[in-house]
Amino acid sequence: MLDVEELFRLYGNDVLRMCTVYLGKRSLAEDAFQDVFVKVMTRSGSYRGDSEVKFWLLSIARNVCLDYLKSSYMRRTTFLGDLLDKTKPQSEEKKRIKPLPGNTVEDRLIESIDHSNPLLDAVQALPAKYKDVILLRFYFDMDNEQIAKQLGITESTVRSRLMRARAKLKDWGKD
Amino acid sequence: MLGDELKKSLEPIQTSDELLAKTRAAIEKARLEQAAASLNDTSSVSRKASPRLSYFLKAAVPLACIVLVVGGLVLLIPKFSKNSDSTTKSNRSKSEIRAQATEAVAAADTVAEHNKSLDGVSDLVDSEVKEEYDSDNDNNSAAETTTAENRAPEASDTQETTSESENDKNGKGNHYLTPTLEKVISDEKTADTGDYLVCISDDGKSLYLIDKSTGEKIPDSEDHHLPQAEDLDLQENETITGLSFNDEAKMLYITISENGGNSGKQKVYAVTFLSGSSEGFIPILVS
Repeated sequence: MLDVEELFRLYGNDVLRMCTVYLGKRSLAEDAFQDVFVKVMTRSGSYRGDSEVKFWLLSIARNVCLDYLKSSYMRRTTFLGDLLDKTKPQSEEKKRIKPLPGNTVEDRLIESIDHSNPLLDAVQALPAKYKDVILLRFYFDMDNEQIAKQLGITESTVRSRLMRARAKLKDWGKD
Repeated sequence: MLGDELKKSLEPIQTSDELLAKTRAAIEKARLEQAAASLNDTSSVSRKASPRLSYFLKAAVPLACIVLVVGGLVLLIPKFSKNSDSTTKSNRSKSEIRAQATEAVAAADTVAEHNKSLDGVSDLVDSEVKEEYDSDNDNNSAAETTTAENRAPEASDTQETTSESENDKNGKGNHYLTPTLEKVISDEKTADTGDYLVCISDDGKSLYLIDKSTGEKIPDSEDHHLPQAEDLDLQENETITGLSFNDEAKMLYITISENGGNSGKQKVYAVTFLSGSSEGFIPILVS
């Protein structure tokens, strides 16, 4: 039987970060985080044990995030931040938005993640299939074989996606 | 490197206690919903059992119909058998009725034969009477000096009839009694018909029956009827003077005489007499 507190302790941050990368917004990421753990705990019986709990948990998180992206809510909603990103030059955005002194460390972190990390912005701007390989390869430190198994694709596909994803992120630090 | 940079970028993203608390609440809510859903599943299992019940009902309804039909047949068959018995009885009664009808027809045929024989007797009597009359007429015509020779045969017949009637009126009619008629005419006061005895009343105006087995007088009724005075057209001076019975022909002959039979005419009536009752009568002779 899976212990939710243990899962929180071991994989909570990873799931939340993954959701943030996929969905781009902290609020949506937190909603997805809750849904992920709800599904994990309500479907714990479906865990067959043939893979690590971490990989199983990540696959659930990925599916939840993809469902969010496919949902009508996401397609109909334009976030104010996105609108500002499209209307204002990136350089002006960076100049205008400065880390605000928040009341708590969490607030400050949120602000810094949402508005001041160009690599994270670049990764979030990638298509989902490139986010998959980037996250699994560079955040979760999986090799190509593990990524292929996790995503259900071939290793060559993994390699090609990694190559294309890295090409898209090539200029992330030039600005 | 990209990996390190990415990890560094994501490092600030951490779960908060509030988020974990919300998540725990959401998990608990989901578990409750799941428990409720499991209860619903249990009910759905019972719903799944309902098709079995429906199958049972589907099988039970024809069985119930069969049982009802068999029960109905069990209840109805005795009635049918009773009906068949009654039908047999009715058939039997019909056969009995037919037998009775056949007997009645046979009896009717017997009566008809009797009537025919009676007719034969009448014809015989008529022919004998006519022959005697013709012979007498021939003798008389030879003695008369009339112009009857010039008359037509039809006219002579008419004349003969007229003369006969005149003779009757004068009480001087000829007695054309043949042996047959002599048998018929009787002066017996009773006639034995087998089971019954036909008797003449003391005044000679009527007839009555006596049952031979009991010796009692049988009153006139539909079953036991004898011709009465009005049937026989009895005149004041006429009385019934004799009876005779032909057992073979079941014929009762009633002799009626004027003035008590001392003088005058005699009439004989023939009546079919069967089972203690008479049917019709035929005047066969006036002498």
